[in-house]
Amino acid sequence: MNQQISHTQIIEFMRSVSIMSTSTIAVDGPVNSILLFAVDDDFTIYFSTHSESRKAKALLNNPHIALSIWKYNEMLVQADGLVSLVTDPKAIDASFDKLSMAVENIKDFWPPVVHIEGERYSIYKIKLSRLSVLPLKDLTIHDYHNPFLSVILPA
Amino acid sequence: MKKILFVEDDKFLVRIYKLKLEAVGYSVRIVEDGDLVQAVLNEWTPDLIVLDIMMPKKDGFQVLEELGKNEEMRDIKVLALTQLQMDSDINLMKRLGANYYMSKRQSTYKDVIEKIQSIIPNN
Repeated sequence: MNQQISHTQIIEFMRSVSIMSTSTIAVDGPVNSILLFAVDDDFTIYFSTHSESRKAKALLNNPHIALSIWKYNEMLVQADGLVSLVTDPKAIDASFDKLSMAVENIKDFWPPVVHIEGERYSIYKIKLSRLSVLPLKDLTIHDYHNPFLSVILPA
Repeated sequence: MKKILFVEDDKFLVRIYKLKLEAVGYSVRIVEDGDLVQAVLNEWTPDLIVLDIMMPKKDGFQVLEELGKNEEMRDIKVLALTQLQMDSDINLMKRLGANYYMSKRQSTYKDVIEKIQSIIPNN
């Protein structure tokens, strides 16, 4: 496959989905979660979860995260990076704005996190260290090369 | 366009309410604590106040009391949306001027949007 895809196309795809599957590493094994997310133009990703959740505890143990964002017949994004807690009040406010807009992308959707009382969830951000993309529309029947496109992330 | 003031200290939740209600044609302003209500009402009169009761600085009971004392504001409809479920709390909300009550523990988000649409139809 010899295809180029722009950062803008990837970001637009990610925003159109707004839901990701994540994997984290707890002391007693892997943790997989489905999460609402928002993404900045520089690929910084934001999510929110219950501060006492298994994945929150896993992230305290190990801040590495892997994630996938997928839409049938369109694109698969795979990435990994490091998670940090957002603590600055202004940054938290800005993150809530971004996550709210992400909710708006999905009709009639109220994410599970808003069923948790406000003071009991936290905002996290992911600084990606690797990102690869598989455009699914134009996959040929056979391809001798790895069909994933590695994306050079902004510094 | 009908106007709603949302008073709710859950920052994420209240932003989503705002977007969802704006999507169905309402004008929405939000404040994150009861102590900020008066400043908004001094310059903007909503058709409905959706009022959380348990808030850190000024609770919904105090807000209701103040609204009741103000002749210009006592006719604004109030929907109390709260975790409180005891009859004594509900009775106090109503006595202080809440027109409607919904329990956060017994209502879905869809219920809240539909209730607002029934109180102030947007057409």
